[in-house]
Amino acid sequence: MAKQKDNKGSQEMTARLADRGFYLLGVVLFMIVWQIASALKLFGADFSESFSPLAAMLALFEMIKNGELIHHALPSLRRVLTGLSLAIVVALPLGVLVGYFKRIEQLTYVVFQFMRMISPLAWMPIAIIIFGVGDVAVIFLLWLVAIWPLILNTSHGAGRVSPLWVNMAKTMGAKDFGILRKVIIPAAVPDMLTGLRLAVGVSWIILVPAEMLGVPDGLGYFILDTRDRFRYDQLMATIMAIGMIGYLLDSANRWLIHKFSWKM
Amino acid sequence: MEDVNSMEEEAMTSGRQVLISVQHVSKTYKKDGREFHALRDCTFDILKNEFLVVVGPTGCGKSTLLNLLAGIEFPTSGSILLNGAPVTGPGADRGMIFQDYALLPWRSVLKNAELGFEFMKKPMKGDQIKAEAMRYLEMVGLGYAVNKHPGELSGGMKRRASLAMILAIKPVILLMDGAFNALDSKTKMTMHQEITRIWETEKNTVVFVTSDLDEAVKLADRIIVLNKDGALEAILVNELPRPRLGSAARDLDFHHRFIAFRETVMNVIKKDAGLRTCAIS
Amino acid sequence: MKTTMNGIAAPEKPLLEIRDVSKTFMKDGKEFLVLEKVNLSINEGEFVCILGPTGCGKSVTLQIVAGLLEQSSGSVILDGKEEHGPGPHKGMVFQEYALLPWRSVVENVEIGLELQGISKKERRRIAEEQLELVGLKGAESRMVHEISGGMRQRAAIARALANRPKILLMDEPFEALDALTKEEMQIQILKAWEKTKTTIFFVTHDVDEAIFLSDKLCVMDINPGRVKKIITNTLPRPRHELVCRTDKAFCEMRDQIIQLYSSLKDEELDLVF
Repeated sequence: MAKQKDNKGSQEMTARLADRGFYLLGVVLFMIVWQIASALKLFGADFSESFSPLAAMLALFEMIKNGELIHHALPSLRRVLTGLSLAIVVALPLGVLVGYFKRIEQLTYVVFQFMRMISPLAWMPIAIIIFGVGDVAVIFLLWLVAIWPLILNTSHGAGRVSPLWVNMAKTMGAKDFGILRKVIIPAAVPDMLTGLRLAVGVSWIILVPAEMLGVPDGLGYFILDTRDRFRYDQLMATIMAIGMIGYLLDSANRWLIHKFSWKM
Repeated sequence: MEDVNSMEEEAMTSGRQVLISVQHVSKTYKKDGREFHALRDCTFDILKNEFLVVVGPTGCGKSTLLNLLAGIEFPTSGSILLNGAPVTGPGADRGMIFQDYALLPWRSVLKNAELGFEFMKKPMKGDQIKAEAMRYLEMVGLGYAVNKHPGELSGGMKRRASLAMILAIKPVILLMDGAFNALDSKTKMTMHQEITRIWETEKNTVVFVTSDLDEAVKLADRIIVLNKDGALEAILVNELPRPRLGSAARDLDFHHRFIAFRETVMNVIKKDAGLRTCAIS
Repeated sequence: MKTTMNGIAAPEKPLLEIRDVSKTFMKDGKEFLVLEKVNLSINEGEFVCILGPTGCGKSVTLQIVAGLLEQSSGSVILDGKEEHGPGPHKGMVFQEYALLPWRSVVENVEIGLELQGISKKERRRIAEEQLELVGLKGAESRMVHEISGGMRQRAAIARALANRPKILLMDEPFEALDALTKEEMQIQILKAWEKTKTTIFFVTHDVDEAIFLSDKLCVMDINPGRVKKIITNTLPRPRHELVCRTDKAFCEMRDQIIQLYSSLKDEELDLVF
C-alpha cells in the first residue's frame, strides 16, 4: 500500500516536471530562433552579430557585475511603484464610489472612457511645462496610465455585488458606510487586483518612453544611452532585462490574485 | 422487505425486456492518495421504456452511476451491458442532460437544437434538420422562442432548450442528472408534466437522478435507493397509477397513497442515515 | 398573559401585527396589486408559517416585515412600534443563504455584531454559542465554498440569531436542500426555536413543512395575493419525536389545506403537498 502511494506520488512528480519542461522548452526554442536569425544576418550585415542572444547575454552578465543594471533598474522601479501607489490612492476609492453609486457612474462615464483612450505620452509636453524635466513628470505620466485600469476594474467589481448581500447587510443593521466597508469593498478585491495587474503591465510598458524625457538614469534612459554609444549588445541586454523584470512583476501580481481572491 | 422487493422486481422483469444490465459495478476514485468508493457492487437491470429514478444521500454515487451509463466514465470492476454488449464509450443512443445546461451562447435556441445533427456521419438536408429541431422545440413548449439566444432565456427555458437539443438526436435512453434542480416550483411543475408527456409519446427509457423525493415519486416506475456507501439499498416499485400530476394529485385518496409511498422511500433513506423512521399508517 | 397594574388580566398582546398591508408593483406602466389588505398577528414565541402558491405574495409580505420592501398602504407594528426599514432586531434568513464567500463560517456569523461594534472577544463567544446551537460546532474556520448547502443554511441561521432578534424571518430557507437534509433542518430549527424561544415567521410553499413546523398557518390565495384562512395547528409538541407525515391528524390538516385550493387551476397550484 505504502509502495503504491509512493509510486503514485512519483507519477504526479513526473507530470509536474513535464509541465515545467515545456515552459522551459518554449524559452529555449525562442532563443534558438533568435540565434539563427542573427546568424543569418537578418538584422543587417553590420549589426546582426551584436544583436544575437549570445552577445546580449554576455553584455547582461557584464552589466549585472559592474552594477550598471542595478543603477538603472532601481530608479525605474522606484518611479513605477511611486506612480502606482499614487494611482491606487486615487483610483480605488473613486472606483468604489463610481461602482456603487449609479449617479456618480453616469457623471463620470463619458469623461473616463474618453480620457483612458488618450496615450499618456500625448500629455508629455504638458507634463514638462507643468512639472519641468525630471522625475516628477515621469511619475505623473505613469500615474496617469495606471489610474484607468484601476478605476474601471474596481468600479466593475463594486457594481456587480449581489443585491442579496446588500440586503443581508441591511438586515444586520448596516447603513451605507457599513455596507461599503463590509460588503462592497471586500467583494471588489478580486477586481481591484485584476486592475492592479493591468496597471502594472501598462506602467511598465510606458516607463521606457517616459524615461526618454530627460531623466539621467533608468532603463528607458539607458536604451538611448547604449544606442548613442553604439553598444547594441548592451541595448539588447537592456531589452531582455526590461522583459524579465516585467515578467517578475506580473508573476507577483498573479500570486496576489491567487492569494486574495475569494471563491464562490 | 428486500425479499418482497426482489420478488416484485422479478415479476416486472419477466414481462419486459432488459435494456441495460448493471452487473456488480464498483467505482473507486483516488483522492489525496486515499481510495474513495463512489459505487459498491451494484447489480440491477434497467427495463425498456421504464422511468427509473435514482435517489440517495449527497455523495452516494448517483451522478457517478449516470456517468458510467453514459460511457463518460468506466467501472473499476463489474460491467454494464447495453442490449447485451458492454458500454465502451458515449453514444448518440444515450442522451445526457446535465444540471448545468450545455447550450452554446452564440447560437440561437434553434441552432442549438440543430447542433446534434451537425455531428452526424450522414449529413441531413438543412431544411430537414430545421424541421426536426423545430418539432422537438415545439414539444418542450419553446416554439415561440426559437430565435432567442441562451442569454435571453430564463432558467426553465434553458432547461427546456437543452432537453430539446438532446431529444432531437432521438436517444433510446435519456440520462438526467438533477435536471430540474434549482428551478422555481412552478417551472419545475411544468417540467414534470413535459418530461412525463415526452416519455409517454417518445417511448424512451429514462434514468433520472434526483435528491427530491416528491419529484421521484411523481415520475418513477421504479426507484433505486443508493446508500451512503454507494451500495444498492433497495429497489422500490412505484405502483401509483398514472397520471399522477395535475388534477390527479388533488384526489385525496390518491394523495394519501402518494404520501405513504414517499414516506416509505424516505424511511429507507433515514434507516441508512441512522435516523429514526416513521411508522406508516 | 401579561398582568396590568390593577391585577386584571389583559388580552395577550401580539409581538408583530401586520395591519391592512397592501402592495402594488408597477410593470410596463401599469399597476399590479400583489398583496391586498393582509392582516396577521404573531404572538411572542409563536412559530407562524405563511403558505401559498407562486404569486400569493408570501415572500413580499416577509420582505415588507423585514423592511426590505415598503408597503403601498397599511402598517407593520413590532413590539408596539411602527416599523420602517431593516434592522438587526429582525433577523432574516434568505433562501440563497447570502453568506459572504471571503469570510469563514464564524466570521460570517459575527458580521452583525461587528457592525454593532461589539468587541472581538465577545462576538467570537456569541458566534460560537450560536454555531453550537445550530449544530455547526467544529466548522468555525471552514470557508463557505467548502461546506454543503445544509451547513450554509445553518450558518445563516446562526448569523441571524447572533443579533438576538425579536423575530426571526425565514424566506423558504430549506427550498434548495435535498429531502433528507431538509428534514434534518426542520428538526434543527424546531430545536433551536424551543431553546431560544425566538418568535419565527416562516415562508414556504411546502404544505408538509408548514404543518410540521407551525403553531399557526396563514394560508394565502392568489390574484391578488391575500390571506385565505388562518389555521391553528393543534399537532402535539415536541413534534420531531412524535409526529409522522402519514399520521391521521397530519393528513387531515393537509387535506384541509388542499381543499382550500379547490378553486385554483392545476397549473396555478405549485405547492409541494
